[in-house]
Amino acid sequence: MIPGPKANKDCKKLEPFLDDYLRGELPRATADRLASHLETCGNCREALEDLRISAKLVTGAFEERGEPSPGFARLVMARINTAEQWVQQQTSFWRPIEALSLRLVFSAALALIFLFAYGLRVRNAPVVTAPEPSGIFVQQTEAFQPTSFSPSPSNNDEVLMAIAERHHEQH
Amino acid sequence: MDNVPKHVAASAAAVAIPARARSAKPDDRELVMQAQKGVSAAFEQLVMRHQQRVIAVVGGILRRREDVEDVAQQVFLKAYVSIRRFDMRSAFSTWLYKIAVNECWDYLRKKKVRPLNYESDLSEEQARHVEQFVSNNAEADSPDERAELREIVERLLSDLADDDRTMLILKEAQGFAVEEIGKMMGLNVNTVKVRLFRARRRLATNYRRRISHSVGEGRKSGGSELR
Repeated sequence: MIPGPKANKDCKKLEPFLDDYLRGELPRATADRLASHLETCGNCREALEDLRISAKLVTGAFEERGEPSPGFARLVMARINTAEQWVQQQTSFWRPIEALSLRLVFSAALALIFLFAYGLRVRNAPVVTAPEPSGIFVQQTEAFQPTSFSPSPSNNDEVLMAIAERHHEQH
Repeated sequence: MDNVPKHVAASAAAVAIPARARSAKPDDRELVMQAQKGVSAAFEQLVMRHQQRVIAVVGGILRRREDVEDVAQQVFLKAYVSIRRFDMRSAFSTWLYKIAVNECWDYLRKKKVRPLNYESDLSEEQARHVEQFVSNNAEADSPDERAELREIVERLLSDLADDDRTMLILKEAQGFAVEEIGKMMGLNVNTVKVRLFRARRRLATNYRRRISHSVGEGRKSGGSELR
């Protein structure tokens, strides 16, 4: 809704219409109301003039029809072909390495699977145990009681004394 | 033809483009679908169809004329590479111009080209020239006049943000609709409208300031010469 001629406070609302007004793209009724507002509003007239100036400047300076050089499309396609060839070369260089590494990965995976399976089998296999001694309940004190043995002589005197004792016992 | 990859060579033959499409000038959508299947002849048609507009867009954003075709080629190369990902939700042209805008910004970033900060004012002759042009008494017809006008307008635009400047050129010089600009730049329509409005007023303010300054300086120097 275009504000009336004296509605200067509402000029902000007019901003979106100014460009279309300048280009003659507003519906007749809206354009008429805007025109009557512009007659009394200096701010909007200045804004409209700014739009006109900027349109004129930018259009004049940049509205160059971008004429491509002859054969531009061919150049683009040649560049695309070059890029594709490069990609193919790169791919063909890396392909054997890729294949080899794939094989390696596959072999390693197989080896891991076998190892894992073997580990599982070993773990689940029944454990073969040695026959238990019948006297398992024998008290430790008994089991570890020192057996009687004669201490071996540690020097010549003791040897002599032992022989003498044995000789004496025999008689 | 030996160096050309097999699929490219195969697609170069027009066999891949349906007979109906060849006779009735296929639309962008059909060509895109063919290009997505790897038919490079279809993509070449898209290039021929859009090259002028892409060059105009790139030419509006880049300041150095010699870079324009190079960047435009790069735009098509990127479009070719990513055409399989194009989902047809927008028009092909909008998608392509979005690539063009992004490519230009990337290029400016990589080259570290900053907006030129023209502190110097226009010469009196330049001021008169541009004033006449704006008041409709003159047209910049020759390439030299256009180049001069462009240099002046570049000065007047130099304190605008890059994307505001781009929007302004896309709207005024390339005739893009606000909706299209919004899609290209990832902004909603109202934001584009508001920013365009401000950018235009700023450009006009700069114009007035520079003109009045240059004319004032001219009068001063003229006056001192007379004395």
